Amino acid sequence: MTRGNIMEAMNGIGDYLIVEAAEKLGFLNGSAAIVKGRKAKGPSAFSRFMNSGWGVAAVCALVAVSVMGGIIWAGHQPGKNPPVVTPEETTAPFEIESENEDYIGEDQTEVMIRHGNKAIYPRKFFMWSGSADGFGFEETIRQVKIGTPILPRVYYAKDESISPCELTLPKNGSLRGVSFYDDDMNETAIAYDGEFHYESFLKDLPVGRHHVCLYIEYTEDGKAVSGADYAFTVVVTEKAEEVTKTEAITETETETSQPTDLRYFQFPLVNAKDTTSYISLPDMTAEGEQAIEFFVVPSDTETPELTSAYKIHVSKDFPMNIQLVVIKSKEGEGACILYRMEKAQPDEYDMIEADGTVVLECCVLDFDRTAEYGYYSRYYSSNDPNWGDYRFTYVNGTKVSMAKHRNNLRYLEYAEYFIRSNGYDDPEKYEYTVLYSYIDGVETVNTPSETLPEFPCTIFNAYNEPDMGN
Amino acid sequence: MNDQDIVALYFDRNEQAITETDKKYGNLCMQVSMNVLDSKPDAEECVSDTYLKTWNSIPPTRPNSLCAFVCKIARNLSLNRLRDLRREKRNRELTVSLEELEACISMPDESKNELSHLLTAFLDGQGETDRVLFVGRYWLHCSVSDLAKRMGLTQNAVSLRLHKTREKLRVYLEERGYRV
Repeated sequence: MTRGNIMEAMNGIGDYLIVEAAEKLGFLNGSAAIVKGRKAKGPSAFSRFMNSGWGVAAVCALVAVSVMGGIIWAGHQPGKNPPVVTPEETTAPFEIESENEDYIGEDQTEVMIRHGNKAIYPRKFFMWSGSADGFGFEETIRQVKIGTPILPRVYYAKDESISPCELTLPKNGSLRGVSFYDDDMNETAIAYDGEFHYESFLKDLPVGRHHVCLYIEYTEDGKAVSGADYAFTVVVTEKAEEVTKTEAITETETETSQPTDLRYFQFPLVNAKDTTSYISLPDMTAEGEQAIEFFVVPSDTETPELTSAYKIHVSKDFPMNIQLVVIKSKEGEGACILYRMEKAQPDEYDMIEADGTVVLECCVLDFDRTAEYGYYSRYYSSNDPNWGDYRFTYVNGTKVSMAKHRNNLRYLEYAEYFIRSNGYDDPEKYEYTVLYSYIDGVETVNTPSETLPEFPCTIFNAYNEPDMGN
Repeated sequence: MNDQDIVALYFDRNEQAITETDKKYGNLCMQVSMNVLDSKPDAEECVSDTYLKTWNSIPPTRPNSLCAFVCKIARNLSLNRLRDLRREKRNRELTVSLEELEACISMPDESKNELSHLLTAFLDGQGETDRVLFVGRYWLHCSVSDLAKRMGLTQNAVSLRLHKTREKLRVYLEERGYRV
């Protein structure tokens, strides 16, 4: 074929496509280009979240069932697609779009990072195939930007007391894109297509925290059939001892938590002075019922305090990742701990089965900012692929009100807060209770608290009564 | 002035038609021509020729979309002009964008129309952003950096989106019997 053929073929595409592109790209006189918002000025919420310290005693409430604010688990009513959310201003720090959100729950082998015999799974954000469009890399970056606190973390000490970890790709996956971001989510490096050498690159990274986004393309019979985005965090230090206590504990405990003799698993203590702890137990494959306990260490006493215990059911097909996040709250208002367990299946994310009855998900709070935080994730059910749109956004750690936060509702035209219970794999048994639902920032549903299930609860309420509807 | 009114001016042989066309689509034509030729004097010449050709074509032609009509004329004239200039220089962006497409499109000459229809159908099935990027890159011949700027995306994101779309197009065409 010749280039003339290509040009002629392209020349024959529909007129409306040309008009659309010309219009959207701002080529028509008087038309404006679509300038989708980028990152907000100044430190990102994620950055500040990552860097902030503890100022108050850690308090954790894991069992209170209350609609009085706090972190409310949010999600989407099964079978109902969320509306398209369009930023009101083109200067929005990031966009939320909801078109073409059909995710593919293919059973793909996962990308893995290995520290010796340990395996850490980068968090997969999106996946697409030839039959479905995905948000792609851009959206993954956006997710990281808005402060998802649960990026798996790996460590590297430049004196090699902590060795570079090995990035293991699935056999049918190839690395097609890598980007590095600093804490402010400024892109610091990009690498592509085999030119990127993970270990050598690690050695060149400056000391600090680097957020890595990978784009993996999956192939079948040599042909690309789908792709997925993954993200994780690399913490680089000069020496191993410079890894913060929390990080070191996490590292150690992860290393020692072998599934073979694990029937009762206790989380490591979390240093409440730090803002974030992350625990990943991808090898937790012991089948059957297992117990999990959550501890926090109040900053004033350093005494571990059991905050809650749960039983989880682990099936051999669904090893669990468990992630624990400690988040500093506003000064004087205590703090809270969130936890998250996720099935390490490629198409199962953000879901928790605790005691076999409840699905939980952690979220992020930022008490200092308004409406910068959203959390958006997806979930597949083999029974109903239409399930799975979750969008929950928090303003000042609680639900937003249109009146007060009108100018900050660029990304919150829709939000639904609810509690889930029962088995999510069976739509017939799937129950949920909508707490609050917002469309265009207006509360449309407010279910009285007495209708909520008693246990397990999906609300953490560890701070003052939130601002409700002001 | 809307397109119908402008076309009516052409049919009335009113030279105001050219002024109105330039006012409404001059920027687009210039941009397309610049993307292809990478030379302002050459692009300006092509745009002028575009108006002349439009004037000579309407009537009898009554385009469904005046925008696409003049844009296609500008593009074709620019490509012809490029061929004339090619002995002297190469337009890197155009070359690169065509090379990218060659990797996923292969066809016998007689299949051009069919491929055009397939391309249209394929693009119809894409998300708006990806569709705009694709047409912007491979029809309007915009550079990746220009697309990124105009769409508020990073160049990295634009490249990856284009890559994914090309891959999907390749699969799409393969499924319909085109050798890739």
